[in-house]
Amino acid sequence: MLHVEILRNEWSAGRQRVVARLEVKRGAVTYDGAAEWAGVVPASFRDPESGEEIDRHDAVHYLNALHRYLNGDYVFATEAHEEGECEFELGAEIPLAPSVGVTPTPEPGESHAVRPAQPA
Amino acid sequence: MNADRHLDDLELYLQRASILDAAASTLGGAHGGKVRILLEGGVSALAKPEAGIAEGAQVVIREVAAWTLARELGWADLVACTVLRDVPLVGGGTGRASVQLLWPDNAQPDFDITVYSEHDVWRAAIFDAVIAHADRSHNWLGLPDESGAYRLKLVDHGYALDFPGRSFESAFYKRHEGEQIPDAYRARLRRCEHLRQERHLRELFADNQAPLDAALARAGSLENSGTLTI
Repeated sequence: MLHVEILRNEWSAGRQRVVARLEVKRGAVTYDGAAEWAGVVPASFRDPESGEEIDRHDAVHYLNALHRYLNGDYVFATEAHEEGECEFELGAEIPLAPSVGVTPTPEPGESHAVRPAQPA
Repeated sequence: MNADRHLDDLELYLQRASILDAAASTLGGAHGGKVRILLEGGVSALAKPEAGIAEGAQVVIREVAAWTLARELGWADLVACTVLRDVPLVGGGTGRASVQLLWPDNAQPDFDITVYSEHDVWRAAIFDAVIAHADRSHNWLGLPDESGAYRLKLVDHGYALDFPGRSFESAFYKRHEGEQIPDAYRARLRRCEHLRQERHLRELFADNQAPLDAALARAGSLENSGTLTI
């Protein structure tokens, strides 16, 4: 079943949280999640790429484009995908991937700062 | 003129503090390269590399310019301090990014704007008009205070300042469109006539000054007319 997850980035806590899930059921978009998050899901939106106004009643089109609109630093929608292509359940907490792209290279006389890794 | 030179120090810190750690989101949205960095001294910040999104070089300078203009207006409480610097990239290497301080995790994204004070909504409306934000049908946070009310924080300014192919859209502007701008806020617009950080802003838009000039022209027009219409 085609669906998207709505995720909240909790940057300071070092995790992402699945706060809602939208899916197409019998041709309509259904919302599953706490009521407090329902407000971030628009009834319609303007696709930033095409400029087209997309309504929730156009369910598949809506889900396929939502990630281009709902793409904030603190809350965003995943790209639409089918069941089985996603392992994260509603409420799941996903840790940030640690130490991406950095290699510890402390040098004598310097702080314990980590310098950016150099490309291989 | 703003008495905000302490924010110069904050910007300098964000630009120069050593990066102790970098952690990327596991699931990404439209910008898949966002990284939380930890700086010496224990401060976390959000880095948005220009390499992670289409037209990234244009996006990151607008993130910084929006912060700088918020400072000029004296509304640094609305926008997170943002600078340009090199950061580690997902997949290795380094690249230029906008780096901004993080709002607390208990800030609530995209609440209905009716929960915010008129003071915050008016300021957001004017700010969005000046920067011509194209992505403010959402992209704000509500930071709860001790009274149970929410204080407005504005986020995601990459598609502001006449971003190519995008048109102005702001829920805050719509709320007060066509209304007379209260004197207290109108006075702030005069600050855009003599920008303390004009050189910094000009350097951001070194390749094309037009978006900055347009923003300053909008500020002037709003100040002159006294009406929230662009």
